[in-house]
Order: sequence, then C-alpha cells, then structure tokens
Amino acid sequence: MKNLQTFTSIFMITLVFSLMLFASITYSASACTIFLGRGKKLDMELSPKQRLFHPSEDGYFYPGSPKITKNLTVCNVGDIPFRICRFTATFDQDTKLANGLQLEILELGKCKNEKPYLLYTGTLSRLKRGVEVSGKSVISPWQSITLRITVWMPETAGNEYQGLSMTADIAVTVCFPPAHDGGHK
Amino acid sequence: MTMKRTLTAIVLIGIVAMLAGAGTYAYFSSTKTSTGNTFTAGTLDLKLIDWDELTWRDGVTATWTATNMVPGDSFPFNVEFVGLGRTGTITPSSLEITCNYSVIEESPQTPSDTDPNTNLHPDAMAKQMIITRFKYNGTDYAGSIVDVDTDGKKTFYDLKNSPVTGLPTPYVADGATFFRLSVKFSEDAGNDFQGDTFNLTMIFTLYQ
Repeated sequence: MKNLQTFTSIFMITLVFSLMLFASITYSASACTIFLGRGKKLDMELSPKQRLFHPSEDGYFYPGSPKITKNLTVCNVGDIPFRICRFTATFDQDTKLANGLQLEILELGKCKNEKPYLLYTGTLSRLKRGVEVSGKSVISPWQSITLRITVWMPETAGNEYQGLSMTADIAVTVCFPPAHDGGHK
Repeated sequence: MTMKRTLTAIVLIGIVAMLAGAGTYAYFSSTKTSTGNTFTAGTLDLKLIDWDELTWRDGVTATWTATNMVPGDSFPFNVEFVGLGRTGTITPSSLEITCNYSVIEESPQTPSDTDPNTNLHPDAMAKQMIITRFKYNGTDYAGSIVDVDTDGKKTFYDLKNSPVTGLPTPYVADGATFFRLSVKFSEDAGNDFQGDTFNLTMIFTLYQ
C-alpha cells in the first residue's frame, strides 16, 4: 500500500513537471516577438524591407564577375539587448546556383574606426542548413548594427551555372542574452 | 520512511527538471527575413551557321569536303564557310579557334597503303594537311598559327597543339562573322595515307 502511494506521488510529480516543460518549449519556439514579463520583449527589424539583390540593379553573375555588396541594418525595436546569432536561407527556382555563389557577411563597427567583423564567409548554399554565428556587438534597445553582405561568383565556377536564376530569402536571427563580448563560437 | 522516499523522489525529479530546463531555455531569439533576393547567372553562347543552311545551331557538320586528295592538291573552298554569332547576356572578350581530328582507315585495305594503321597515329596525316588560309572576320590568321613541330608548314597538327587565341568576338547572331578555310595536301605526303579519310573537327570557343 505504501509502495503504491509512493509510486503515485512520484508519477504525479513527474507528470506535472513534464507538462510544465512541454508548455515552456511550445511557448518559446520560433516566435518573432517574445514577451518577457511585463512589457519586456525581444524584437528587431531589418532595413531595407525590400529585396537587397536583383539582376535589374546588380547585373548578372558570371565567373569572376564584380562582387555585389549591399547593406542590411538590424535594429533593436524591443526592450532588451541582443546579439546576432544565426543566419539561414531558403531558396527557390534553380537552387543549384547557390553552390556557385560565394557569400560574405560582415558586421560593421559602431564607430568609424572600428574594423568590420567577419560573421560568415562561404557558399550561399551553406546557409540552407543554417549557420551559427557570434555577433561582435551587443545591440541595445533602439540601437542598430549594419551587416555588409557581399555576393560573387568565383573565377573557378564553371559552365554548369550558366543561365540559372534563383531567389533567396535570407533570415537573420538575434539571441538574448548577449552572453559574451566578441569572438567566434 | 515513505515520506522520506517521496521527498527524495521530489528533489531528484526537481533537479532533473531544472537541468533539462536550463538546457532548453538557454536563449530567446527573434528572426526576421530579407525576402525576394534574386541571383541570376549570365549566359554566353556561341552559335554556328553553315554556308548552305539557314538555321543557327550549336554545331554544324560537313562544311568542307575534299575527296580523292593526292599529294600537292589544293582546296581553296571559296564558297564554303562557317558563320559565327553569339547570344546571351554577357559580352564576351575573345574567341579561340583550334581543332581535333581522327583518321579512318579504308576497308578493305588498299594494298599500296604503306601504313594500314594511320588511324592509330592521326598526327602523321595532320602534319601533311597544310592550312593555307585561316580567315576570320576578314583577316587571314594563318600566319598566327605557331609551327609547333618546326617543319616549315602550318598544319592542323600545329593548330591542335597551339590554338589561335585572342581573336575578336563574333557579332550577335543574325549578323554573322565568317570563318573561311583553305587547305593543301602536302607534296611530302607519301603512300602512308592512300585511301585514308582525314576527319577534321574545328573547335570555336568563346570566352567571357
């Protein structure tokens, strides 16, 4: 009888903890705006809101073609500081082209003399899996940071990419807490 | 005793839950996306048109045909030519012309063919096929072919081993740039090539 009571108690406690855990996981997953207590939220905006790259403005890519550079501003519109922590991309149409394009993402310094900080360099296609990065700066509420995004086709790219066209949605993720100050993970 | 067990269980479960929670809630995050970015690779395409055809193609065949060649014969090919035209979104910078070849042995073998295996070493016949005119876009580039084997003749062997490069790019297709060829079968060619067929492929490459 005593064993049964003990078992029942343990079972009930486990059940309660499991439900709490499940509820918490569900709440924190993939929300763009997360409210932390009263009026506290983690939120950001990207600028410009329209596309960065388009052949009508940038021309066509070919092996050794000029690098195309665009700036993307990340603005903290929430109440708590954050740091850039992840890039991901989704592709459409001729996704093979993503293998032939190189991408570099620099975090520009807050001051003029501050050197740009390399967050990512590699193929565009690698962003499909998502890339964990460690932003240099802590971006406080109502501060912003500029990302300099450069895309090019290396001279070694072959004819297999000729005439291909693709679209890419590039996602920037910021994280709280901004656990450290600088350096790659 | 039961109470003690229950409390121990609660404490243990609590610790496990806290550890799990700590791992799960390490970060809050927010994600925004820059959408609609479009990347397009340019195109560069060379098209050919045969002198007796009306359609642009990726390749043409049997433009120059010489039959019953004997040593010393010349083939000016005054009528035959290949037109070159380019298409695509990228402006090319130069054109390269080279060639490849093979030899087909006659069957049955001609008794007087002193080399029944020229097909195994086609360079031998290519060295007897002299290029006397190599005219592209109105300019004769025969002099630009390097005499690789220094035998005093500009042959298809030389052209294969030292392509003519840096040529001006052809016009956009429909406004053809012409390539004309004249050939001579060397007087030095002996009986090794009797009955043999020299199969020539001209190769035009456009560079960005």
